[in-house]
Amino acid sequence: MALAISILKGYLLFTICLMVIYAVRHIIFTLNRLFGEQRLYYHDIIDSDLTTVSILIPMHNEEKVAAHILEQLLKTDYDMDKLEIIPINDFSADATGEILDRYAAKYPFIKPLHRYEGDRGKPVALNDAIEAATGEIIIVFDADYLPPRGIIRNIAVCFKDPEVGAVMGRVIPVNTKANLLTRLLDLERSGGYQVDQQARYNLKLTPQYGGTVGGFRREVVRRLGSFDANVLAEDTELTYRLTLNGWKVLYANRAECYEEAPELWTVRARQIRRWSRGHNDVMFKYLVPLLRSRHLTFREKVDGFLLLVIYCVPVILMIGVFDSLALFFLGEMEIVAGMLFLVFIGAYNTFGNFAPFYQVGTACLLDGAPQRILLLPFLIFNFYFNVWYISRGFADSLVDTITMRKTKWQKTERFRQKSVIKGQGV
Amino acid sequence: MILLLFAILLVVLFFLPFLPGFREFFIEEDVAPLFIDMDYRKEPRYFGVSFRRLLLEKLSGGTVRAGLRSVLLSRQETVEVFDTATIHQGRIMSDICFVKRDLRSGSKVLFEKEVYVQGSASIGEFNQLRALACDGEVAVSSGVKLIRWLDAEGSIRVASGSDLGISASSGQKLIIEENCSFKRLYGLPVITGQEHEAPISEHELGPEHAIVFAGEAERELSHIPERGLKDCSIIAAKSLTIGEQAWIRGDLKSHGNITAGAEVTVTGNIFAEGDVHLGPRCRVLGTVFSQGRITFDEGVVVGCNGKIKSVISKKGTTLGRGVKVYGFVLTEGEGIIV
Repeated sequence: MALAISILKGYLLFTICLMVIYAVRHIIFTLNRLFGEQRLYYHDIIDSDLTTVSILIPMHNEEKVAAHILEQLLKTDYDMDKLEIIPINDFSADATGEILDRYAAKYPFIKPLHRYEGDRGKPVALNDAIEAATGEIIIVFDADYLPPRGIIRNIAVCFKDPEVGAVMGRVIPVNTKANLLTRLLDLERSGGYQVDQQARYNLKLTPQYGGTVGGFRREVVRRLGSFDANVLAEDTELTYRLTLNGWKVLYANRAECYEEAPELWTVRARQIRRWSRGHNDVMFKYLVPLLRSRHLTFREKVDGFLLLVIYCVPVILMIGVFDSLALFFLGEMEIVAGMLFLVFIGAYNTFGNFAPFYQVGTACLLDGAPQRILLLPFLIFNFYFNVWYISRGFADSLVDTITMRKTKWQKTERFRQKSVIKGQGV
Repeated sequence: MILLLFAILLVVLFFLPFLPGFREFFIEEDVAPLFIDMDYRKEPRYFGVSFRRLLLEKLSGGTVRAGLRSVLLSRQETVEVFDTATIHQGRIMSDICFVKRDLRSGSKVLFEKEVYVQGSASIGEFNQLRALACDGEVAVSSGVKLIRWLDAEGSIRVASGSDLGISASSGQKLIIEENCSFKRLYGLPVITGQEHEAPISEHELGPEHAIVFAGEAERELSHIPERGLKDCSIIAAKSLTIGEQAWIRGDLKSHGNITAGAEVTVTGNIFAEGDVHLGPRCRVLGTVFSQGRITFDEGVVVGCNGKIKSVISKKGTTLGRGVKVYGFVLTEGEGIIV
């Protein structure tokens, strides 16, 4: 019994320490973003020698949004002789294929890839497209995204740096007016990109390649084996595979692109559970190689570790809540103030998501949108919602790792009925 | 009773933090998505191009007769239209000036608003201008201060001791003498000092030399000896020094400083987390980018005829005499020509 109580107390202390470590990490990021030196990104480079670019757009049943993204990409200021657009029709049962063929008939640089054989899913689809692509640089957009005119140049220019393997732009929800969920997700995104990713770039840590609004060197990724088809978080997996092989991942705050955030809590639940499962799959795969890597500095390893483990934190916290309940009912709360303290630490650190409330608030100020800070208290609902579904995702990942189960790709449902960009007649 | 009051207080305090959020949620003061300019594209001569377009639109394509006009730009403005303008010493011009042919100003003239000249412009000593757009050539005398920007379709020559404000851009040559300060420059090319001091085109490399070998980069290097030859890109974890007359057919990247001796040639791009110092008569065919400071000694050439490259630094850029940059120079710190 004494041993059990010691274990419970030890676990509680471990949880609190972990929360404090993450709190310190996020405070450092926030202070850096507010007061620290901001590293230049490469978007100011003007260079007449453009690299060849292939834009990949994975699509599964995207008839609602397919035309919107293609119309936006047609407005790009990138030299069309150096550009090809490869929409990947991945087992679509709706009119996606027909829409793509219509555009291909009109524009020779739009080259759809229709996939109806083999495995389905984003990583596999991207791998096929990488083989078909001819560009030196691959830029990926999800189908619901709305790229501005200059974004391709903004992303492609960073590959003039010979050490850059991948770059991630900034994602901004366009459907904030839909409901409370989209407004809260908008806050999360702001904190995560404007503060967290940018601070990691400033501090020469490793920003995360997010799988969309981002690019990578085609030949490098091919040489490293392309995307792992058995990982749902193929973007996180690529981030670690590149950095462990000596390549840098950059963050481009000025490469902004609209996305469609989930409008239903059920859709969001599936999304966050998938992210957690995928991210934790990557964690199990790369934890040891990360610590052993000779290409990373000590700082990069520490932050890489904290990033890798981040989708375990809600699980650890949830177990910690039960742990403190057990200690409470056993009358063994004299170590610290127990559940209340744990709840406080949890709220303080991960209030809302992986972008704590002070990161979100800072992002809103930097974006010149301070009024939305008033919604911050609502993030507590997001927080408990995320804890539950991330924990389920962690459990999925544990089963994946132990049983070596094959993962099945899940697509996020779309909600857009018509174009949200003025002048787009689609 | 006390218990009831306590319960009510608890409920109120619980919901209190949410009240402003409820207000924002229902009133939707800040509900619009963050703004992205969907049409934005990088344009080095943006200020001049957009100002010309805006003013010509308001002045019926520039066909208006001489005199005063009232136009609505970002606010109501008075535009003074000239056929040819000769502004005498010491005058203060309080309105936007639109000159349909040439402009000549004496010394110590103050232009409080923007100036658009469709002919050529000759700016006298110690003038102060808010901004100048010119369709012809521009000659800027010494000690001139630009508050915002200068843009010309033709070449621009700037005498010593001038402050070029936020941006100076030309569709042709931009020649700037010593002791001038800047933030952004654009020219084809940008030349410092006297034009004859810059390397002549016969000494420059052409685009056919812009070779970057595609193999693995060399990573463990910190020094390249004099007259060394490297047929690969180099990624240095620390500072990198390059001996005189070395030739690198690839890109350079350093997590420290990059210091090159005289007459080093780099056919690719240069990126540094620290400072970049290129010795006399170095040639770089690509872009130079530094998170620190950039210093070019005399006769350095960046880029080549027919190409546009960039020289970008975070903390400051110092250009010696006879430096030539085909394209764009930008610094977030202080830019100076010595």
